[in-house]
Amino acid sequence: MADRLLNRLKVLRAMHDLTQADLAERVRVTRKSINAIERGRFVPSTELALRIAGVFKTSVEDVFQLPDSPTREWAGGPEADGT
Amino acid sequence: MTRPTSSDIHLSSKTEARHESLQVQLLIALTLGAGGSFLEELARTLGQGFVESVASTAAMVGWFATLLVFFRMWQLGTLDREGQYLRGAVDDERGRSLRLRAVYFAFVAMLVVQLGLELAAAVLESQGGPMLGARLAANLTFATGVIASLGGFLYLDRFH
Repeated sequence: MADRLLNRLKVLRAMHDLTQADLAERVRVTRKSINAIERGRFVPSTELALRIAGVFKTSVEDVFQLPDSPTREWAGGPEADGT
Repeated sequence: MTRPTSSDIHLSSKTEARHESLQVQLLIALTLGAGGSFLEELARTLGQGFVESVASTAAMVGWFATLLVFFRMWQLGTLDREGQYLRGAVDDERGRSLRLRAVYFAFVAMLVVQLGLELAAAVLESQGGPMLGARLAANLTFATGVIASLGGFLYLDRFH
């Protein structure tokens, strides 16, 4: 099982001009939680992942992916913003 | 779900910061209260009258401060107008996950303290020292539990 989840939160936030606090407010979690998810330190629940994807009007797979996912379409480190 | 306004976001960030500050205050108050109670009992066991009275005063101040912080936490909860956005600012799934880990850490810490007490009691008994009372053991275990769980949570919340 992957211990870290790749994500594109930083990129998507930038595209939608949202701060961590803005996103946190929209999905009703703390800003620290968004920061932890973004840095790959906390794996969100399915519900939270769906809510985050909902904010960006995209699919969960477009925000989060397993490092070894065979259907992975975007590259990135654990923080997943292409770095 | 309605979109949060910038005022909601500002209020939520402020609530998050205030809640964190209250948690630090609670840790200090509990450390003073529970630690003072333990020291008071220890000083009584060792026959240190002056230390006992100082520790007793510190414990009373600590317990009073604890009540005050609890009241302020309750007050913060009631300020949550709609409850809709602000609740997430103080209690979300990451917070619950960290609390669980902190409680586990506190449980292990209490077990270690119990083991230490057993060893200390055995050593003192073999050397003809003072007997460790049940109240002393209870105070130490309680102090360890509350300080380790709250301190552990604050540590994880800040550095994890």
